[in-house]
Amino acid sequence: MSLLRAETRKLARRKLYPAMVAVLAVFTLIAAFFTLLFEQIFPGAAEGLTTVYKPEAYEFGMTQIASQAWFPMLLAAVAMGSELSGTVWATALTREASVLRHVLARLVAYVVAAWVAFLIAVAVWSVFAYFFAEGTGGPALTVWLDHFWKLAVVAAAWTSLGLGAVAMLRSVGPAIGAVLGFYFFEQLISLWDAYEGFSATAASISIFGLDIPPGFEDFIPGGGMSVAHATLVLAGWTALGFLLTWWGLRRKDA
Amino acid sequence: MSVPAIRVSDLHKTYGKTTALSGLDFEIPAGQVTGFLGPNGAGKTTSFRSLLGLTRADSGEMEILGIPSPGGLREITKRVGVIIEEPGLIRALTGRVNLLVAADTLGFGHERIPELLEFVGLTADANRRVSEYSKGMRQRLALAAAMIGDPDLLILDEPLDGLDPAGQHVFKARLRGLAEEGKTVVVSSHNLSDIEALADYVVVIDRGRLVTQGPLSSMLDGGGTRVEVVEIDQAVAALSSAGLEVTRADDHLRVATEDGSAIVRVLAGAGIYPSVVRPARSSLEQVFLGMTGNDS
Repeated sequence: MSLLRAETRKLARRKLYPAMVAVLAVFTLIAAFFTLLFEQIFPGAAEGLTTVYKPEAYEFGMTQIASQAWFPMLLAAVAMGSELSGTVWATALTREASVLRHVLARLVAYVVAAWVAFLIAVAVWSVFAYFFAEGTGGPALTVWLDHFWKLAVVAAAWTSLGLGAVAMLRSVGPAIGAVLGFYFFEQLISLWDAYEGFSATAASISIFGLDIPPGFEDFIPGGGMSVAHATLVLAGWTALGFLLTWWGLRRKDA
Repeated sequence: MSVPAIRVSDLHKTYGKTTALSGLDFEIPAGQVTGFLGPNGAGKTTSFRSLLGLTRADSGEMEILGIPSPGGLREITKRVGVIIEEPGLIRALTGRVNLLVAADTLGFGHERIPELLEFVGLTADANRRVSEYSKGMRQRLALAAAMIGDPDLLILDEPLDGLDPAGQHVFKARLRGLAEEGKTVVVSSHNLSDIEALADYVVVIDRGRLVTQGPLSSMLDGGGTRVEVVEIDQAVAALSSAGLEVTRADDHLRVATEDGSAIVRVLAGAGIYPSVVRPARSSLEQVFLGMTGNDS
């Protein structure tokens, strides 16, 4: 517990986290504007852009927020990388047997932080949808709660991959490049049918079990993936990231 | 005899084709300040890293406070404070929060933090970000972090590196204070005069092997007596004719006896009155260079 407290304290006291949450909120607002409002203000201005209406507008926000996988990956890479690039980690970690505990504490702290950030983004999207999206109605509380734990599963997979990247590369700059590169590359290849069933991006959307609104099928992957399948895929990516992190940090002689 | 604070026996470590430690043996006594010396690449940091489980030794035996390492590291780390290479501080956080994080990370309480800030003279700056600290302040905060669990043993790798003279003075005073409280302090440094001013005991290694170890005073005691006189030639003749072995240096003589009164009697008998007669003592630098054939 004290390790978890240490990680939480570090995140809470640094400017990194609130700054990243602010960027996530801005991106969420931009996505909400183009998805829910743009067509109403500028009808026909953007060919092919489809407007989503209430009640679907609320749940559609989940797919948009879960697609912002850069957030948990960057948070993990920068938060842990800033320690690895100095020797903070080495100084703190003076016992071989505790690599696992240190990695687990960081994973839990960063996943919770990413999940809270996603919930803030959901709130931003929902308030925007409430005031600006056309239509009426919205999901029941149980639907919201169901989506919330799924956001945590999404956050876990991408956070774990961010940790894996920085543990392997041992430097913040290259790790940021690697996670952003992976994020965009994974989004691209997630649309490839042969890979879609293993894609973290596709699984992050499919886990919510939503019907993709007409007009979005061509650029939102994972349409054919079941919730169980998506959960398994995300669990697999979480495990892979965790293993990479553990292995990367065990290579202390590097 | 008390258990040594650190005991290392036949320690080997290679990085690829480079041999870092080659059968290293040494012991560090408890309750003293020990200087851990060696030229660049001698294996000082590798020794510390091996002892603390930050790198895996290929073979050999290590004990810290009587506990085998790395097997007992979980227990050892509760009793050892460490600064390896650079201080492990997070610059975006304040000094006080860094100590809170250090305490939580290592599983200790927060109750010693005010006392430690006072000890390292940072109480007034505790709420400033570490990024605003001078190098000396960061080193002192790192010392406080290393002491968060009230350790019996402090292992400090180059802690004085980069400090200005005033910062070094404060830091050395703190370390001496700890030894007077019965703590064991192990300090590696390139600066031999720092170690000479600080240490009670010295371990010298080179090329991954022990060169020598022992109390600093006996290491610096070169034997014989240093004599300073104006009439050097006459003094050499008088002492030699009295059967004493005399070595002539630039501005003094070194006589191979520790009986200073005998020297004074011989010289006075020859009408020569020395300005200085004292036990000969080498500087640590002279001893070090003589043993390693290297500049530190």
